[in-house]
Amino acid sequence: MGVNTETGGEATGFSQRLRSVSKRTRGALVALPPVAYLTLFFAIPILTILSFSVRVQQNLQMTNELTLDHYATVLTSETFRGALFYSVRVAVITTAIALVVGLPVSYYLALKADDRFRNMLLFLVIAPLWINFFVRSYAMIQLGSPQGFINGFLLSLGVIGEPLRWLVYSQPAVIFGLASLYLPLMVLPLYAMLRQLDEAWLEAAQDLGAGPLRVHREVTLSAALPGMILGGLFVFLLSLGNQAVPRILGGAKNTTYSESILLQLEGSVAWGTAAAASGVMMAFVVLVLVGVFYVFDMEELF
Amino acid sequence: MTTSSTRSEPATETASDVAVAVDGLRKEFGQLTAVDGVSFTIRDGEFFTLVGPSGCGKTTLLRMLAGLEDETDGSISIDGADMTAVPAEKRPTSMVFQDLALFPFKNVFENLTFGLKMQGESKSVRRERAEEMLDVLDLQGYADNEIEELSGGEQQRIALGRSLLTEPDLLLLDEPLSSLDVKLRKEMQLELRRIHDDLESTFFYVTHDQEVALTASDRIGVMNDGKLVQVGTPREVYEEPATPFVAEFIGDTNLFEGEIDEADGTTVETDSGLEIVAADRDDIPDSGRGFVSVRPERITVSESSVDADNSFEGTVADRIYQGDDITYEVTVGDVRLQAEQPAADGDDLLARGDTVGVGFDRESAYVITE
Repeated sequence: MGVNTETGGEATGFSQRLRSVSKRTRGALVALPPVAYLTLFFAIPILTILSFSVRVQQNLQMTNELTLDHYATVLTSETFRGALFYSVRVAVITTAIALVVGLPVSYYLALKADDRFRNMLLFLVIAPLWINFFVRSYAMIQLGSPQGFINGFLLSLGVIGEPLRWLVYSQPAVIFGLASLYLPLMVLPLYAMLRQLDEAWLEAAQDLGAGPLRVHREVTLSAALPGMILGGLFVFLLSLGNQAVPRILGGAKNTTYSESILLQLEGSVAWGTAAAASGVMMAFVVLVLVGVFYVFDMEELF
Repeated sequence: MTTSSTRSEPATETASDVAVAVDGLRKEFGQLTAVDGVSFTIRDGEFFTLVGPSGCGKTTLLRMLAGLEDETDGSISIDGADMTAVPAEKRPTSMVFQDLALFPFKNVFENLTFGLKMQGESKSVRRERAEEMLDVLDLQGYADNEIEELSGGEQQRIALGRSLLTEPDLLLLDEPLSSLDVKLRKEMQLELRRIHDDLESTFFYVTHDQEVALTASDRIGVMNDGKLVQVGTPREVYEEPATPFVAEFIGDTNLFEGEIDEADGTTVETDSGLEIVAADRDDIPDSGRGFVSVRPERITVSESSVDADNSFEGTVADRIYQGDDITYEVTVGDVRLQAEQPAADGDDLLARGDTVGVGFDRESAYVITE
C-alpha cells in the first residue's frame, strides 16, 4: 500500500511537471528528433550542393567566389537539355504504363480477389521489390536478347522473320524495366484507395443510369484518383531520377539526365556544373509537385 | 424517360393503374431460396411497404425490382413492360440504398444530379433542377457542400433527392431510415409521406420496422421466409391478420391456439384452458384447430370484475410503465395475458400481486385459421 502510494505520488509529480510545461514547448520536444534527423541528412547535403552550384571551382576546390556560370552552362547545353527531355519522356511513358497495368491489378486485388488469397497476392505484388534489382535486370536481358526466350518464341511461331533487336539496350527496354520495378509503388496506393470503394456506389451509379463503362469512369476512377496521383508521383519522380536501369538496360545512344550529372562528377570532376544540373532537376521536380498540388487539392484528396 | 408533365397528370383508370406487376417471382442462391414464388401488384401512385423480419427475402425482392439481381424464375413488369432483359441502368426505377451509397468524392450537387448527367442533361439544366430539389428537401444553399459535412438526416434527404431527380416510375427504398435515431426516423417517415404525396410517385418501401409500415403506407405486404403472407391496408393487416405470424409481427398480440367450436356462435377452447368467445365470420370453419388473437389495448384490467363477453379473474404479474400507457401482465390460470391501458392518474395503478378482473368483447377476439 505504502509503496503504491509512493509510486502513485511520483507519477503524479511527473505528469504534473509535464503539464506545467506549455503546450507549445511539449510540441517542440516531440518534433525535435525528426527535425534534427532531416536537418542532418536532408537539408545540409542539399544546401551544400546548392552552394556548390553558385561557387567558382578551382581545380578540386570550391572557392567562396559566387557565380551563375554553372547554371548558364547547364541551361545552354544541348546535352543536358536532350538528356532532360529523354528522362522526362521515359518517366512519363513509364508512369502511364504503370497506371494502365496497375489499375486493373489493384481493382482485382481490392474488390474481386478472394479474401483467403488477398494477402498472398499482395505479397506477390510487393515481391519484386525484394529481389535484387540487378539480378532481375540481367534476367530481363536474357529474356529479350536476340537469342533470348521472347525472340525464340516469336520466331518459332513465325510472327517475326528475324530477332527483334530493340528488346534490349533500347528505350523500350528502359521503360519496361522501370515500369516493372516501380509497379508496386503504383499498385499499393491504388489498392489502398479502392479498398475503401463501397460496391453499393457502383450499384447506385448503375441504378441512376450509368452503363458498365460509365460506372467505372464515374465511380471507380473517382475513388482511385488520390491513389493515381500518389502512385503517379512515386513512379514519375523515381523513374526520372533512376540511373541504374538505363545504365543496364539502355543503349549507348541515349543518356539520361542523372547519367549526365554523373558524367560531370566522375568524368569531368565539374562539381559546380553537376551541382547546378542537380539544382535544375530539383527546380523541375518542385515545379511538377506544385503543379499537381495546384490542380488537385491535396486536402480534398486525402 | 418520363417528363415532369406526365408525372403530374392524374392517373387514368385503365390498365396503367397498375404500376408494377410481380408474378411468381423466385430467387435461389445455391441451395437457399430467398424469394419463393411471390406475386403482387403495386398501383400507380401508391406507397407500398413490404415488411418482414431480417432475412425474409424482402431486400432480395427489392433488388430484383431494381435489376441489381437476376430472378431465378417469374417475371416483373413495370408500366406494362416486361423487365426481364432490361438492365438496372435502363429500368424506370431508382433505389435509395440502406446505407445511402452517396458518392463521397462528389459534392451535394454532383450527387443529386448524377442521374441527370447520365441522361445527358446540360450543366445549367442540372443546376436548376438541383436547386428545385434542394427546395423540396428543405436544404436550400447546400449544393456546393461536401457529403461528409452533412448530418445523417441531411444525407438521407440527399439520397432521396438523388433518386427522385431521375423521375423514376417506381422509387425503391431499402430501409433507408434504419440508421437514424428514433426521433429523426419518425420525422423522416412523415417527410417521406409528404414528398410521396407532393410528387404523386409510386413508392416501394422495404423495412423490418412495422411502425413505418403502419404509419406511412397505403398498403402493406407482409413477407416471411421468402413468401408473401398477406397484402392489405395497414388497418386490414393489423385488424385481420391472415396468419399467426402476421398477428405477432404487426403490433403486439395475445395469441392462443385451440379448438374452434361454431355450435353456439364462434368459440375457441384454447389449449391453455380458456374459453374465448370470438367475433363471428363466414369463413371460419365449424370445427378444427385455429388461433385467436386479442390485441393488448383491447383488454380491460380492473380492480373489480369486468363486464364483457370474455371475463376472467387473474393476478397482476408485472407492470410495465411506458409513459403514455401501461402494460399489465396478468396471469389467468396458466395463461399470461398482456393488457395495455392508457395511463390515467398515476395513483390508482394496480400493483404486482393484485387480484384483478380482465375482460374483452368478442369483437376484439379475431380467429385465424391457416
